[in-house]
Amino acid sequence: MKTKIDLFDIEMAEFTPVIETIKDYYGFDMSGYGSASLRRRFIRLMEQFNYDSVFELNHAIINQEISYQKIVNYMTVNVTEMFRFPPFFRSLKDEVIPYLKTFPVFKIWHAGCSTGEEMYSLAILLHEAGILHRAKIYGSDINSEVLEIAKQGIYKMNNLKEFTKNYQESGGTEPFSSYYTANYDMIKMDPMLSEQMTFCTHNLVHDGPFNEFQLILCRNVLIYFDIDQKTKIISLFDKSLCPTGYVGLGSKDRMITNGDDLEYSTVNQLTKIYRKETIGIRA
Amino acid sequence: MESEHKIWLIGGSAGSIKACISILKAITKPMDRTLIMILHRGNDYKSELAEIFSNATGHTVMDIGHQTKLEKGVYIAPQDYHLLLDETFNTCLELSEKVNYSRPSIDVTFESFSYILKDSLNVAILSGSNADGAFGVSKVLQRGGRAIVIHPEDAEFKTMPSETIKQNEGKCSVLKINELIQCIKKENT
Ligand SMILES: C[S@@+](CC[C@H](N)C(=O)[O-])C[C@H]1O[C@@H](n2cnc3c(N)ncnc32)[C@H](O)[C@@H]1O
Repeated sequence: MKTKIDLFDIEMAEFTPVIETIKDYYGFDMSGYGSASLRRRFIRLMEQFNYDSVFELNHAIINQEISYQKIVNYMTVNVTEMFRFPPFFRSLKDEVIPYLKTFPVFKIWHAGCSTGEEMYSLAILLHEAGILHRAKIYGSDINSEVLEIAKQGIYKMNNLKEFTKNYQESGGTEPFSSYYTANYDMIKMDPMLSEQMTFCTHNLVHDGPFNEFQLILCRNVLIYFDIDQKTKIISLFDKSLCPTGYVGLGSKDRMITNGDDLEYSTVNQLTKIYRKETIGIRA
Repeated sequence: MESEHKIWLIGGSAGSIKACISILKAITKPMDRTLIMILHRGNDYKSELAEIFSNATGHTVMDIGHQTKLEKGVYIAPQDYHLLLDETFNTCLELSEKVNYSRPSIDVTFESFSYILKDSLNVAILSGSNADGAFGVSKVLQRGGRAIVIHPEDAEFKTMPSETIKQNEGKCSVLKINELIQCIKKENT
């Protein structure tokens, strides 16, 4: 029998001082993350660093034994894949890419891009539509480690079969193998795909808008936030979107607009693609 | 904390779909409890289990959404997310690493629900060829909930029930599928 304390016996309320420490020291307010998920992430953080008590964890943060980036990197969940949820990419191809084609230069923001698979997926569709060279693609995430992977575009080969299937179901027209080179158990995405990409760390909770985009994707990120936080983030997107731009969310996300200030039409209910409508267009 | 009605979580892997169908068929409609199935399944988003269950049983089986209040009825945990329960009694879908090579993981859901629901939680383990669920059951029991494990002889794949029984020796009830159905029915009147 192990005598080690069971981290799952820690009450959520015991983590409050840690949340406060992180907020005081780094200005990062995690209280808007859902409680069940937050509890699981804290337990994971303690497991990784072998802390037996919340007191120890808090102490380590105060004494900067764990860096801010380490905390963020362990507290966030970064699971993603190529062409995740193919119907989404199919509707981008059918409904949004024709719109992007009308611009000589257009900008796309992947907010919470994680390790970048979503960015490479869309870049492939843009390439097949002949407009990749006209794109400026920004990937942002709060987690600096995942951005490094995104930049390199090097992924494990394990999931290749699924990626290929997803690509085909998304309406891809080439052999998927023409977009990467394989080496041992890794694949490296064709550098042609990332030429238009820029990456930066950005915290959706308190960093501001940084450009005007024709398309913003923020998939499987909002589900970690409570309603207040989510509303704020959606209004951040609103400020960063051009007047007729599109927003794409994750399949479990829901668009929320506060009152009359934001007007969006639903482009596709299943794939959670929305379009901003200016008052002029509505009237 | 008290919730208005008892909640049943049913966990399983290989060989559990048939068992779930017979359970649902035996329960009067409409269901006046919350029953959620946490099942491992193939990696195909098209495998619309909710629809299959609805057609086979006459219950309206729904995929659980994110931040939804649990109403009475029959739900299934969606493919590729972990299912958690928030302090507000709202569900939370989490897209994190697989646990026991599974997402949804039965351990994760049982642990999270029992943390909030304590003794108003009932869980059952059906059939499967791995040990996901054994740890979850131990947390459910520790927090005063009730756990039923299908007798390995009655399970198509025995590893999951056997391991759960082994790791929770003498603490969970080991029942035949028919007896489990009676239990859920009794609660459902
Ligand atoms: C599950 S991934 C989503 C990846 C991709 N968009 C997809 O749908 O497959 C969620 C990402 O959101 C990031 N994230 C979480 N909180 C954030 C915040 N406050 N600001 C920016 N990014 C955040 C995480 O680091 C993680 O990489």
